[in-house]
Amino acid sequence: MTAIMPEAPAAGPIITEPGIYEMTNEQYHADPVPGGSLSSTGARRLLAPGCPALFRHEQLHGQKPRKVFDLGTAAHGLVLGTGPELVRIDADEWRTAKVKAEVAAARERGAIPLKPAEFEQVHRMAAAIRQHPVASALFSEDSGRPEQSLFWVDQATGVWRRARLDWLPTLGHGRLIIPDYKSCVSAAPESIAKSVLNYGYHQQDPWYVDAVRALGLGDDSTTFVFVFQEKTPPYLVNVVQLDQATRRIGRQRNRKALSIYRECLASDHWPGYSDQVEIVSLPAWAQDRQMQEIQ
Amino acid sequence: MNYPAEQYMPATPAPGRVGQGTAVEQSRAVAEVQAAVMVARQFPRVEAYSISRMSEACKQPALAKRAFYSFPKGSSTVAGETIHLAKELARCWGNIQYGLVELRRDDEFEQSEMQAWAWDMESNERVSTTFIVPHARWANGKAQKLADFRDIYENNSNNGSRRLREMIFSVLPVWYIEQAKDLCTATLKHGGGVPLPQRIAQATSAYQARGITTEQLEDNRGRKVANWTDMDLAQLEILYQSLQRGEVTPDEAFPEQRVTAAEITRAVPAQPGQGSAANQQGGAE
Repeated sequence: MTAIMPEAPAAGPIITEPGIYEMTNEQYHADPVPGGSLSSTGARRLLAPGCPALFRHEQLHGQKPRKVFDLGTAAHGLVLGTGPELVRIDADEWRTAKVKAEVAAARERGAIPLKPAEFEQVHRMAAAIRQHPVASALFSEDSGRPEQSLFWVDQATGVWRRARLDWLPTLGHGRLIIPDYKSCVSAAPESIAKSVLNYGYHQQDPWYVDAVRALGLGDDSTTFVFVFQEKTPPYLVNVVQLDQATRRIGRQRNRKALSIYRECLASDHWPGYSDQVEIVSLPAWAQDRQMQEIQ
Repeated sequence: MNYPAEQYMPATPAPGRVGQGTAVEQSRAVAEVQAAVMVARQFPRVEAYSISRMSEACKQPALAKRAFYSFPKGSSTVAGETIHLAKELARCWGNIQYGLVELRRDDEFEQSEMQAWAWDMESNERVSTTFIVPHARWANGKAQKLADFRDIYENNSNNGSRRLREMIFSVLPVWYIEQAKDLCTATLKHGGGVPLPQRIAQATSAYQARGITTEQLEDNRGRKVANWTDMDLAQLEILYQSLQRGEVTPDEAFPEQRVTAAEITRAVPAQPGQGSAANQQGGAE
Protein backbone atom coordinates (compact mmCIF):
# COMPACT_ATOMS: atom_id res chain seq x y z
CA MET A 1 0.00 0.00 0.00
CA THR A 2 1.62 3.21 -1.15
CA ALA A 3 -1.59 5.19 -1.37
CA ILE A 4 -2.43 7.79 1.22
CA MET A 5 -5.59 6.85 3.05
CA PRO A 6 -8.03 9.48 4.20
CA GLU A 7 -7.31 10.48 7.77
CA ALA A 8 -9.88 9.28 10.21
CA PRO A 9 -11.03 12.03 12.59
CA ALA A 10 -8.53 12.45 15.37
CA ALA A 11 -10.99 11.34 18.02
CA GLY A 12 -12.41 8.60 15.82
CA PRO A 13 -11.97 4.92 16.53
CA ILE A 14 -9.41 2.79 14.74
CA ILE A 15 -10.86 -0.57 13.77
CA THR A 16 -8.45 -3.47 13.60
CA GLU A 17 -10.73 -6.25 14.82
CA PRO A 18 -13.88 -7.49 13.07
CA GLY A 19 -17.01 -6.79 15.07
CA ILE A 20 -19.98 -4.54 15.79
CA TYR A 21 -19.19 -0.97 16.72
CA GLU A 22 -21.13 2.08 17.86
CA MET A 23 -19.93 5.23 16.09
CA THR A 24 -21.27 8.35 14.48
CA ASN A 25 -22.18 8.54 10.80
CA GLU A 26 -19.13 10.75 10.15
CA GLN A 27 -16.75 8.35 11.85
CA TYR A 28 -18.17 5.47 9.85
CA HIS A 29 -18.01 7.31 6.51
CA ALA A 30 -14.46 8.41 7.24
CA ASP A 31 -13.60 4.68 7.23
CA PRO A 32 -11.95 3.85 10.55
CA VAL A 33 -10.10 0.83 9.13
CA PRO A 34 -6.40 1.55 8.59
CA GLY A 35 -5.66 0.73 4.96
CA GLY A 36 -9.30 1.17 4.07
CA SER A 37 -12.41 -0.98 3.84
CA LEU A 38 -15.10 -1.40 1.23
CA SER A 39 -18.70 -0.42 1.95
CA SER A 40 -21.78 -1.50 0.02
CA THR A 41 -22.04 1.97 -1.56
CA GLY A 42 -18.39 1.75 -2.56
CA ALA A 43 -18.92 -1.65 -4.14
CA ARG A 44 -21.72 -0.20 -6.27
CA ARG A 45 -19.57 2.78 -7.25
CA LEU A 46 -16.79 0.50 -8.51
CA LEU A 47 -19.06 -1.16 -11.06
CA ALA A 48 -20.70 0.40 -14.11
CA PRO A 49 -22.14 3.00 -14.42
CA GLY A 50 -19.46 4.04 -11.91
CA CYS A 51 -15.81 3.13 -12.19
CA PRO A 52 -12.80 2.66 -9.91
CA ALA A 53 -11.56 6.23 -10.51
CA LEU A 54 -14.86 7.70 -9.27
CA PHE A 55 -14.87 5.37 -6.30
CA ARG A 56 -11.32 6.34 -5.38
CA HIS A 57 -12.07 10.05 -5.62
CA GLU A 58 -15.04 9.73 -3.29
CA GLN A 59 -13.06 7.55 -0.94
CA LEU A 60 -10.31 10.16 -0.64
CA HIS A 61 -12.41 13.33 -0.70
CA GLY A 62 -15.85 12.30 0.55
CA GLN A 63 -19.19 13.42 -0.88
CA LYS A 64 -20.70 16.87 -0.62
CA PRO A 65 -23.95 17.11 1.35
CA ARG A 66 -26.90 17.62 -0.99
CA LYS A 67 -30.33 18.97 -0.27
CA VAL A 68 -32.22 15.75 -1.01
CA PHE A 69 -29.71 13.97 1.10
CA ASP A 70 -30.65 16.13 4.05
CA LEU A 71 -34.34 15.30 3.89
CA GLY A 72 -33.69 11.57 3.54
CA THR A 73 -31.18 11.64 6.37
CA ALA A 74 -33.56 13.61 8.57
CA ALA A 75 -36.44 11.19 8.04
CA HIS A 76 -34.08 8.32 8.54
CA GLY A 77 -32.81 9.62 11.86
CA LEU A 78 -36.24 10.35 13.18
CA VAL A 79 -37.69 6.97 12.18
CA LEU A 80 -34.82 5.11 13.80
CA GLY A 81 -34.76 7.39 16.82
CA THR A 82 -31.12 8.24 16.25
CA GLY A 83 -29.22 10.41 13.91
CA PRO A 84 -28.51 14.09 13.93
CA GLU A 85 -30.54 16.80 15.58
CA LEU A 86 -33.21 18.39 13.36
CA VAL A 87 -33.32 22.16 13.49
CA ARG A 88 -36.42 24.04 12.40
CA ILE A 89 -35.27 27.20 10.64
CA ASP A 90 -38.14 29.71 10.87
CA ALA A 91 -37.94 30.92 7.30
CA ASP A 92 -39.29 29.60 4.03
CA GLU A 93 -36.43 31.19 2.11
CA TRP A 94 -32.87 30.99 3.32
CA ARG A 95 -31.72 34.28 1.92
CA THR A 96 -31.03 36.75 4.70
CA ALA A 97 -27.63 36.80 6.31
CA LYS A 98 -29.17 36.05 9.69
CA VAL A 99 -30.93 32.91 8.47
CA LYS A 100 -27.90 31.82 6.49
CA ALA A 101 -25.78 32.11 9.61
CA GLU A 102 -28.33 30.04 11.52
CA VAL A 103 -28.24 27.36 8.82
CA ALA A 104 -24.46 27.36 8.74
CA ALA A 105 -24.26 27.13 12.52
CA ALA A 106 -26.63 24.16 12.51
CA ARG A 107 -24.61 22.38 9.82
CA GLU A 108 -21.44 23.22 11.73
CA ARG A 109 -22.56 21.28 14.78
CA GLY A 110 -23.72 18.34 12.66
CA ALA A 111 -27.43 19.13 12.85
CA ILE A 112 -29.77 19.18 9.85
CA PRO A 113 -31.42 22.54 9.17
CA LEU A 114 -34.96 22.21 7.75
CA LYS A 115 -37.57 24.62 6.51
CA PRO A 116 -40.84 24.61 8.53
CA ALA A 117 -42.68 22.57 5.88
CA GLU A 118 -39.89 20.02 5.67
CA PHE A 119 -39.66 19.79 9.44
CA GLU A 120 -43.37 19.02 9.53
CA GLN A 121 -43.05 16.53 6.67
CA VAL A 122 -40.28 14.56 8.34
CA HIS A 123 -42.23 14.24 11.56
CA ARG A 124 -45.31 13.06 9.71
CA MET A 125 -43.24 10.48 7.88
CA ALA A 126 -41.95 9.08 11.15
CA ALA A 127 -45.50 8.97 12.50
CA ALA A 128 -46.71 7.06 9.44
CA ILE A 129 -43.98 4.46 9.95
CA ARG A 130 -45.02 4.03 13.57
CA GLN A 131 -48.60 3.54 12.37
CA HIS A 132 -47.72 0.86 9.85
CA PRO A 133 -48.21 -2.60 11.38
CA VAL A 134 -45.25 -4.28 9.69
CA ALA A 135 -42.80 -1.38 9.61
CA SER A 136 -43.47 -0.46 13.22
CA ALA A 137 -42.80 -4.05 14.26
CA LEU A 138 -39.52 -4.07 12.32
CA PHE A 139 -38.26 -0.90 13.98
CA SER A 140 -39.88 -1.32 17.39
CA GLU A 141 -37.57 -0.19 20.17
CA ASP A 142 -37.26 -3.49 21.97
CA SER A 143 -36.52 -5.48 18.80
CA GLY A 144 -32.99 -4.29 18.09
CA ARG A 145 -30.43 -1.51 17.98
CA PRO A 146 -30.25 1.30 15.42
CA GLU A 147 -27.26 2.41 13.33
CA GLN A 148 -24.79 -0.38 14.02
CA SER A 149 -21.45 -0.39 12.21
CA LEU A 150 -20.18 -3.82 11.24
CA PHE A 151 -16.64 -4.54 10.13
CA TRP A 152 -15.35 -7.88 8.89
CA VAL A 153 -12.77 -9.43 6.59
CA ASP A 154 -13.99 -11.07 3.39
CA GLN A 155 -13.08 -14.76 3.40
CA ALA A 156 -12.43 -15.08 -0.32
CA THR A 157 -10.45 -11.90 -1.01
CA GLY A 158 -9.06 -10.88 2.38
CA VAL A 159 -10.57 -7.43 1.81
CA TRP A 160 -11.92 -5.49 4.80
CA ARG A 161 -15.64 -4.88 4.38
CA ARG A 162 -17.94 -2.60 6.32
CA ALA A 163 -21.67 -2.07 6.59
CA ARG A 164 -23.79 0.34 8.59
CA LEU A 165 -27.10 -1.28 9.37
CA ASP A 166 -30.09 0.96 9.94
CA TRP A 167 -31.30 -1.60 12.38
CA LEU A 168 -29.69 -4.70 13.84
CA PRO A 169 -32.47 -6.89 15.23
CA THR A 170 -31.79 -8.89 18.34
CA LEU A 171 -32.09 -12.58 17.66
CA GLY A 172 -35.48 -13.69 18.94
CA HIS A 173 -37.43 -16.73 17.93
CA GLY A 174 -37.61 -17.18 14.20
CA ARG A 175 -35.03 -16.01 11.71
CA LEU A 176 -33.23 -12.71 11.68
CA ILE A 177 -34.86 -10.16 9.36
CA ILE A 178 -32.70 -7.10 8.71
CA PRO A 179 -34.79 -4.05 7.76
CA ASP A 180 -33.48 -1.07 5.83
CA TYR A 181 -35.35 2.22 5.59
CA LYS A 182 -35.53 4.16 2.31
CA SER A 183 -37.46 7.33 1.57
CA CYS A 184 -38.58 7.58 -2.06
CA VAL A 185 -40.85 9.43 -4.46
CA SER A 186 -43.06 6.41 -5.15
CA ALA A 187 -43.31 3.17 -3.22
CA ALA A 188 -45.27 1.40 -5.97
CA PRO A 189 -43.69 -2.00 -6.77
CA GLU A 190 -42.74 -0.94 -10.33
CA SER A 191 -41.01 2.19 -9.06
CA ILE A 192 -39.22 0.19 -6.39
CA ALA A 193 -37.99 -2.21 -9.07
CA LYS A 194 -36.48 0.75 -10.96
CA SER A 195 -34.89 2.13 -7.78
CA VAL A 196 -33.38 -1.28 -7.06
CA LEU A 197 -31.74 -1.17 -10.48
CA ASN A 198 -30.72 2.50 -10.38
CA TYR A 199 -29.28 2.51 -6.88
CA GLY A 200 -28.10 -1.11 -6.78
CA TYR A 201 -30.22 -2.00 -3.75
CA HIS A 202 -29.97 -5.65 -4.77
CA GLN A 203 -26.29 -5.40 -3.86
CA GLN A 204 -26.99 -3.87 -0.47
CA ASP A 205 -29.24 -6.77 0.56
CA PRO A 206 -26.68 -9.61 0.25
CA TRP A 207 -23.90 -7.27 1.49
CA TYR A 208 -25.66 -6.71 4.82
CA VAL A 209 -26.68 -10.35 5.09
CA ASP A 210 -23.00 -11.26 4.58
CA ALA A 211 -22.05 -8.85 7.39
CA VAL A 212 -24.45 -10.42 9.84
CA ARG A 213 -23.45 -13.95 8.89
CA ALA A 214 -19.72 -13.22 8.92
CA LEU A 215 -19.91 -11.89 12.47
CA GLY A 216 -22.04 -14.82 13.62
CA LEU A 217 -25.02 -12.61 14.49
CA GLY A 218 -27.37 -14.61 12.31
CA ASP A 219 -27.39 -17.99 10.62
CA ASP A 220 -28.02 -19.02 7.02
CA SER A 221 -31.71 -18.21 7.31
CA THR A 222 -30.94 -14.49 7.83
CA THR A 223 -32.87 -12.39 5.39
CA PHE A 224 -33.43 -8.77 4.48
CA VAL A 225 -36.36 -6.45 3.75
CA PHE A 226 -36.62 -2.88 2.53
CA VAL A 227 -39.04 -0.43 4.08
CA PHE A 228 -39.87 2.11 1.39
CA GLN A 229 -41.72 5.26 2.30
CA GLU A 230 -43.01 8.01 0.05
CA LYS A 231 -41.94 11.56 0.81
CA THR A 232 -45.37 13.03 0.03
CA PRO A 233 -48.69 12.69 1.92
CA PRO A 234 -50.08 10.20 2.86
CA TYR A 235 -46.48 8.97 3.24
CA LEU A 236 -47.35 5.45 2.17
CA VAL A 237 -45.14 2.65 3.39
CA ASN A 238 -44.30 -0.51 1.45
CA VAL A 239 -42.23 -3.33 2.93
CA VAL A 240 -40.62 -5.47 0.25
CA GLN A 241 -38.29 -8.40 -0.08
CA LEU A 242 -36.25 -8.95 -3.24
CA ASP A 243 -36.70 -12.24 -5.02
CA GLN A 244 -34.08 -14.97 -5.09
CA ALA A 245 -32.87 -14.31 -8.64
CA THR A 246 -32.42 -10.58 -8.01
CA ARG A 247 -30.46 -11.22 -4.84
CA ARG A 248 -28.28 -13.74 -6.62
CA ILE A 249 -27.40 -11.12 -9.24
CA GLY A 250 -26.62 -8.65 -6.46
CA ARG A 251 -24.40 -11.15 -4.72
CA GLN A 252 -22.47 -11.84 -7.91
CA ARG A 253 -21.99 -8.12 -8.52
CA ASN A 254 -20.66 -7.76 -4.99
CA ARG A 255 -18.16 -10.52 -5.71
CA LYS A 256 -17.06 -8.73 -8.87
CA ALA A 257 -16.68 -5.44 -7.00
CA LEU A 258 -14.61 -7.08 -4.27
CA SER A 259 -12.18 -8.56 -6.76
CA ILE A 260 -11.89 -5.26 -8.67
CA TYR A 261 -11.24 -3.49 -5.37
CA ARG A 262 -8.56 -5.97 -4.39
CA GLU A 263 -6.81 -5.63 -7.77
CA CYS A 264 -6.94 -1.82 -7.74
CA LEU A 265 -5.65 -1.77 -4.18
CA ALA A 266 -2.78 -4.11 -4.98
CA SER A 267 -1.69 -2.20 -8.10
CA ASP A 268 -2.76 1.23 -6.81
CA HIS A 269 -4.23 1.77 -10.26
CA TRP A 270 -7.80 3.07 -10.30
CA PRO A 271 -8.90 3.16 -13.95
CA GLY A 272 -11.66 5.38 -15.30
CA TYR A 273 -14.40 4.13 -17.60
CA SER A 274 -11.98 2.80 -20.16
CA ASP A 275 -8.40 3.15 -21.35
CA GLN A 276 -9.50 2.41 -24.90
CA VAL A 277 -11.74 4.12 -27.45
CA GLU A 278 -15.09 2.56 -26.72
CA ILE A 279 -17.88 1.86 -29.17
CA VAL A 280 -21.21 3.23 -27.99
CA SER A 281 -24.57 2.10 -29.28
CA LEU A 282 -28.11 3.08 -28.45
CA PRO A 283 -29.66 1.39 -25.43
CA ALA A 284 -31.14 -1.94 -26.53
CA TRP A 285 -34.76 -0.90 -25.96
CA ALA A 286 -34.35 2.29 -28.01
CA GLN A 287 -32.57 0.41 -30.76
CA ASP A 288 -35.46 -2.05 -31.06
CA ARG A 289 -38.01 0.73 -31.13
CA GLN A 290 -36.23 2.91 -33.66
CA MET A 291 -35.40 0.00 -35.94
CA GLN A 292 -39.11 -0.73 -36.12
CA GLU A 293 -39.83 2.90 -37.01
CA ILE A 294 -37.44 2.69 -39.94
CA GLN A 295 -38.75 -0.57 -41.34
CA MET B 1 -1.49 -33.39 -66.85
CA ASN B 2 -2.78 -36.33 -64.94
CA TYR B 3 -1.04 -37.71 -61.90
CA PRO B 4 -1.83 -40.83 -60.02
CA ALA B 5 -4.14 -39.84 -57.24
CA GLU B 6 -1.99 -41.46 -54.56
CA GLN B 7 0.56 -38.70 -54.95
CA TYR B 8 -1.78 -36.07 -53.50
CA MET B 9 -4.14 -37.99 -51.41
CA PRO B 10 -2.68 -38.38 -47.99
CA ALA B 11 -3.43 -41.79 -46.58
CA THR B 12 -6.44 -41.92 -44.26
CA PRO B 13 -5.13 -41.96 -40.74
CA ALA B 14 -5.37 -45.44 -39.32
CA PRO B 15 -4.05 -47.00 -36.17
CA GLY B 16 -0.50 -48.32 -36.71
CA ARG B 17 -1.35 -51.73 -35.41
CA VAL B 18 -4.67 -53.46 -35.02
CA GLY B 19 -4.73 -56.25 -32.47
CA GLN B 20 -6.44 -59.50 -33.34
CA GLY B 21 -9.28 -58.90 -30.92
CA THR B 22 -9.91 -55.52 -32.47
CA ALA B 23 -9.81 -56.96 -36.00
CA VAL B 24 -12.39 -59.58 -35.06
CA GLU B 25 -14.51 -56.90 -33.43
CA GLN B 26 -14.30 -54.66 -36.50
CA SER B 27 -15.51 -57.34 -38.88
CA ARG B 28 -18.16 -58.42 -36.41
CA ALA B 29 -19.45 -54.84 -36.22
CA VAL B 30 -19.71 -54.61 -39.99
CA ALA B 31 -21.64 -57.89 -40.13
CA GLU B 32 -23.86 -56.83 -37.28
CA VAL B 33 -24.85 -53.57 -38.95
CA GLN B 34 -25.62 -55.38 -42.20
CA ALA B 35 -27.70 -57.97 -40.40
CA ALA B 36 -29.56 -55.32 -38.41
CA VAL B 37 -30.49 -53.45 -41.56
CA MET B 38 -31.59 -56.69 -43.25
CA VAL B 39 -33.75 -57.66 -40.29
CA ALA B 40 -35.23 -54.19 -40.07
CA ARG B 41 -36.21 -54.38 -43.74
CA GLN B 42 -37.67 -57.85 -43.35
CA PHE B 43 -39.64 -57.03 -40.22
CA PRO B 44 -40.71 -53.42 -40.56
CA ARG B 45 -42.46 -51.88 -37.60
CA VAL B 46 -46.25 -51.98 -37.55
CA GLU B 47 -47.21 -48.52 -36.32
CA ALA B 48 -50.38 -49.75 -34.64
CA TYR B 49 -48.31 -52.09 -32.47
CA SER B 50 -45.76 -49.39 -31.80
CA ILE B 51 -48.50 -47.06 -30.60
CA SER B 52 -50.14 -49.64 -28.38
CA ARG B 53 -46.77 -50.58 -26.86
CA MET B 54 -46.10 -46.93 -26.18
CA SER B 55 -49.49 -46.23 -24.61
CA GLU B 56 -49.13 -49.30 -22.40
CA ALA B 57 -45.71 -48.10 -21.25
CA CYS B 58 -46.92 -44.57 -20.60
CA LYS B 59 -49.71 -45.86 -18.38
CA GLN B 60 -47.12 -47.19 -15.94
CA PRO B 61 -46.57 -44.73 -13.08
CA ALA B 62 -42.95 -45.91 -12.87
CA LEU B 63 -42.27 -44.51 -16.33
CA ALA B 64 -44.54 -41.49 -16.05
CA LYS B 65 -42.74 -40.32 -12.92
CA ARG B 66 -39.40 -40.50 -14.69
CA ALA B 67 -40.63 -39.02 -17.96
CA PHE B 68 -40.17 -35.34 -17.14
CA TYR B 69 -37.70 -33.15 -15.33
CA SER B 70 -38.25 -29.71 -13.95
CA PHE B 71 -36.04 -27.34 -12.04
CA PRO B 72 -35.87 -23.60 -11.54
CA LYS B 73 -33.05 -21.69 -13.18
CA GLY B 74 -32.82 -18.04 -12.31
CA SER B 75 -36.34 -16.74 -12.30
CA SER B 76 -37.70 -19.25 -14.81
CA THR B 77 -38.23 -22.99 -14.79
CA VAL B 78 -36.44 -25.39 -17.07
CA ALA B 79 -38.63 -28.37 -17.89
CA GLY B 80 -38.69 -31.11 -20.49
CA GLU B 81 -38.60 -34.82 -21.23
CA THR B 82 -35.96 -37.10 -19.78
CA ILE B 83 -33.60 -39.56 -21.45
CA HIS B 84 -35.64 -42.33 -19.77
CA LEU B 85 -38.68 -41.39 -21.81
CA ALA B 86 -36.60 -41.14 -24.99
CA LYS B 87 -35.14 -44.63 -24.55
CA GLU B 88 -38.52 -46.12 -23.76
CA LEU B 89 -40.10 -44.52 -26.81
CA ALA B 90 -37.26 -45.78 -29.01
CA ARG B 91 -37.91 -49.27 -27.70
CA CYS B 92 -41.64 -49.05 -28.36
CA TRP B 93 -41.21 -47.53 -31.84
CA GLY B 94 -38.88 -50.35 -32.84
CA ASN B 95 -35.98 -50.72 -35.26
CA ILE B 96 -34.14 -47.82 -33.66
CA GLN B 97 -30.55 -48.04 -32.55
CA TYR B 98 -28.79 -45.36 -30.55
CA GLY B 99 -25.58 -44.96 -28.67
CA LEU B 100 -23.20 -42.72 -26.83
CA VAL B 101 -19.48 -43.08 -27.44
CA GLU B 102 -16.52 -41.48 -25.79
CA LEU B 103 -14.27 -41.10 -28.82
CA ARG B 104 -11.28 -39.75 -26.98
CA ARG B 105 -10.40 -38.73 -23.47
CA ASP B 106 -7.80 -36.04 -23.41
CA ASP B 107 -6.31 -35.63 -19.94
CA GLU B 108 -3.84 -33.03 -21.15
CA PHE B 109 -6.55 -30.64 -22.33
CA GLU B 110 -8.93 -31.93 -19.67
CA GLN B 111 -11.75 -32.74 -22.04
CA SER B 112 -13.49 -35.67 -23.68
CA GLU B 113 -14.61 -35.86 -27.29
CA MET B 114 -17.93 -37.63 -27.43
CA GLN B 115 -20.52 -38.66 -29.93
CA ALA B 116 -24.22 -39.35 -29.51
CA TRP B 117 -26.17 -40.94 -32.32
CA ALA B 118 -29.53 -42.44 -33.15
CA TRP B 119 -30.47 -44.43 -36.20
CA ASP B 120 -33.78 -45.50 -37.69
CA MET B 121 -32.75 -48.67 -39.50
CA GLU B 122 -35.85 -48.83 -41.63
CA SER B 123 -35.68 -45.42 -43.19
CA ASN B 124 -31.91 -45.35 -42.74
CA GLU B 125 -32.22 -41.94 -41.15
CA ARG B 126 -29.20 -41.43 -38.95
CA VAL B 127 -28.40 -38.40 -36.82
CA SER B 128 -25.30 -37.88 -34.78
CA THR B 129 -23.58 -35.11 -32.93
CA THR B 130 -19.98 -34.87 -31.86
CA PHE B 131 -19.24 -32.62 -28.93
CA ILE B 132 -16.59 -31.75 -26.38
CA VAL B 133 -17.20 -32.21 -22.69
CA PRO B 134 -14.73 -30.33 -20.50
CA HIS B 135 -13.65 -32.20 -17.40
CA ALA B 136 -15.14 -29.50 -15.25
CA ARG B 137 -18.33 -28.76 -13.46
CA TRP B 138 -19.99 -25.38 -13.11
CA ALA B 139 -20.57 -24.71 -9.45
CA ASN B 140 -20.88 -21.55 -7.34
CA GLY B 141 -20.47 -19.36 -10.40
CA LYS B 142 -17.16 -20.82 -11.54
CA ALA B 143 -15.79 -23.89 -13.31
CA GLN B 144 -14.42 -26.52 -10.97
CA LYS B 145 -11.95 -28.96 -12.46
CA LEU B 146 -12.69 -32.65 -12.10
CA ALA B 147 -9.82 -35.00 -11.37
CA ASP B 148 -11.53 -38.09 -10.01
CA PHE B 149 -12.11 -40.59 -12.85
CA ARG B 150 -15.50 -41.39 -11.48
CA ASP B 151 -16.48 -37.73 -11.49
CA ILE B 152 -15.30 -37.43 -15.09
CA TYR B 153 -17.31 -40.50 -16.07
CA GLU B 154 -20.42 -39.17 -14.33
CA ASN B 155 -19.98 -35.77 -15.95
CA ASN B 156 -19.48 -37.27 -19.40
CA SER B 157 -22.52 -39.49 -19.15
CA ASN B 158 -24.64 -36.65 -17.81
CA ASN B 159 -23.67 -34.37 -20.66
CA GLY B 160 -23.88 -37.22 -23.15
CA SER B 161 -27.33 -38.41 -22.15
CA ARG B 162 -28.77 -34.96 -22.83
CA ARG B 163 -27.40 -35.08 -26.38
CA LEU B 164 -28.49 -38.67 -26.81
CA ARG B 165 -32.02 -37.70 -25.82
CA GLU B 166 -32.07 -35.05 -28.54
CA MET B 167 -30.76 -37.54 -31.11
CA ILE B 168 -33.40 -40.15 -30.25
CA PHE B 169 -36.16 -37.56 -30.36
CA SER B 170 -35.01 -36.38 -33.76
CA VAL B 171 -35.50 -39.80 -35.36
CA LEU B 172 -38.91 -40.35 -33.73
CA PRO B 173 -42.04 -38.78 -35.23
CA VAL B 174 -43.16 -35.65 -33.41
CA TRP B 175 -46.79 -36.81 -33.09
CA TYR B 176 -45.59 -40.00 -31.42
CA ILE B 177 -43.60 -38.08 -28.83
CA GLU B 178 -46.46 -35.65 -28.17
CA GLN B 179 -48.92 -38.50 -27.69
CA ALA B 180 -46.57 -40.14 -25.24
CA LYS B 181 -46.14 -36.90 -23.27
CA ASP B 182 -49.91 -36.47 -22.98
CA LEU B 183 -50.33 -40.05 -21.80
CA CYS B 184 -47.57 -39.69 -19.20
CA THR B 185 -49.13 -36.47 -17.92
CA ALA B 186 -52.50 -38.20 -17.68
CA THR B 187 -50.93 -41.06 -15.75
CA LEU B 188 -49.29 -38.65 -13.35
CA LYS B 189 -52.61 -36.87 -12.83
CA HIS B 190 -54.42 -40.12 -12.23
CA GLY B 191 -51.82 -41.14 -9.67
CA GLY B 192 -52.55 -44.85 -9.80
CA GLY B 193 -56.13 -44.33 -8.59
CA VAL B 194 -55.11 -43.24 -5.07
CA PRO B 195 -57.36 -40.41 -3.86
CA LEU B 196 -55.82 -36.96 -4.14
CA PRO B 197 -55.77 -36.03 -0.42
CA GLN B 198 -53.94 -39.25 0.35
CA ARG B 199 -51.37 -38.58 -2.37
CA ILE B 200 -50.89 -35.03 -1.12
CA ALA B 201 -50.20 -36.39 2.36
CA GLN B 202 -47.68 -38.84 0.91
CA ALA B 203 -45.96 -36.13 -1.09
CA THR B 204 -45.70 -33.65 1.78
CA SER B 205 -44.28 -36.28 4.11
CA ALA B 206 -41.76 -37.42 1.48
CA TYR B 207 -40.60 -33.81 1.13
CA GLN B 208 -40.67 -33.39 4.90
CA ALA B 209 -38.14 -36.19 5.13
CA ARG B 210 -35.83 -34.12 2.95
CA GLY B 211 -36.24 -31.11 5.22
CA ILE B 212 -38.60 -29.22 2.95
CA THR B 213 -41.60 -27.74 4.70
CA THR B 214 -45.18 -27.65 3.47
CA GLU B 215 -44.94 -23.84 3.37
CA GLN B 216 -42.08 -24.12 0.90
CA LEU B 217 -44.15 -26.46 -1.26
CA GLU B 218 -47.04 -23.99 -1.13
CA ASP B 219 -44.68 -21.19 -2.19
CA ASN B 220 -43.48 -23.35 -5.04
CA ARG B 221 -47.00 -24.05 -6.28
CA GLY B 222 -48.30 -20.60 -5.44
CA ARG B 223 -51.30 -21.94 -3.58
CA LYS B 224 -52.28 -23.58 -0.33
CA VAL B 225 -52.23 -27.37 0.06
CA ALA B 226 -56.02 -27.37 0.25
CA ASN B 227 -56.24 -25.99 -3.29
CA TRP B 228 -53.70 -28.25 -4.96
CA THR B 229 -54.80 -29.95 -8.15
CA ASP B 230 -53.69 -33.22 -9.73
CA MET B 231 -51.35 -31.21 -11.89
CA ASP B 232 -49.71 -29.52 -8.92
CA LEU B 233 -49.02 -32.89 -7.42
CA ALA B 234 -47.69 -34.23 -10.69
CA GLN B 235 -45.29 -31.28 -10.87
CA LEU B 236 -44.15 -31.86 -7.31
CA GLU B 237 -43.57 -35.54 -8.05
CA ILE B 238 -41.46 -34.62 -11.07
CA LEU B 239 -39.50 -32.15 -8.99
CA TYR B 240 -39.04 -34.78 -6.31
CA GLN B 241 -37.56 -37.16 -8.87
CA SER B 242 -35.25 -34.38 -10.09
CA LEU B 243 -34.13 -33.83 -6.49
CA GLN B 244 -33.56 -37.55 -5.99
CA ARG B 245 -31.45 -37.74 -9.13
CA GLY B 246 -29.45 -34.73 -8.05
CA GLU B 247 -30.39 -32.66 -11.11
CA VAL B 248 -31.40 -29.88 -8.77
CA THR B 249 -30.46 -29.01 -5.18
CA PRO B 250 -33.09 -28.28 -2.54
CA ASP B 251 -31.79 -24.69 -2.32
CA GLU B 252 -32.40 -24.12 -6.01
CA ALA B 253 -35.79 -25.78 -6.05
CA PHE B 254 -37.06 -24.20 -2.87
CA PRO B 255 -35.68 -20.76 -2.29
CA GLU B 256 -35.94 -19.57 1.28
CA GLN B 257 -39.43 -18.81 2.46
CA ARG B 258 -40.66 -15.34 1.69
CA VAL B 259 -40.97 -12.92 4.54
CA THR B 260 -44.59 -12.39 5.50
CA ALA B 261 -46.23 -9.60 7.46
CA ALA B 262 -47.40 -12.18 9.96
CA GLU B 263 -43.86 -13.37 10.52
CA ILE B 264 -42.63 -9.87 11.30
CA THR B 265 -45.50 -8.88 13.53
CA ARG B 266 -45.41 -12.23 15.32
CA ALA B 267 -41.78 -11.70 16.30
CA VAL B 268 -42.64 -8.48 18.13
CA PRO B 269 -45.48 -8.17 20.61
CA ALA B 270 -47.78 -5.42 19.35
CA GLN B 271 -47.63 -2.28 21.40
CA PRO B 272 -50.76 -0.57 22.61
CA GLY B 273 -52.21 1.91 20.20
CA GLN B 274 -50.81 0.10 17.19
CA GLY B 275 -52.00 -2.41 14.70
CA SER B 276 -55.67 -2.35 13.81
CA ALA B 277 -55.98 1.35 13.08
CA ALA B 278 -52.81 1.23 11.10
CA ASN B 279 -54.40 -0.60 8.21
CA GLN B 280 -56.33 2.50 7.32
CA GLN B 281 -53.03 4.12 6.49
CA GLY B 282 -53.13 2.16 3.30
CA GLY B 283 -49.61 0.76 3.49
CA ALA B 284 -49.17 -1.64 0.59
CA GLU B 285 -48.56 -5.18 1.70
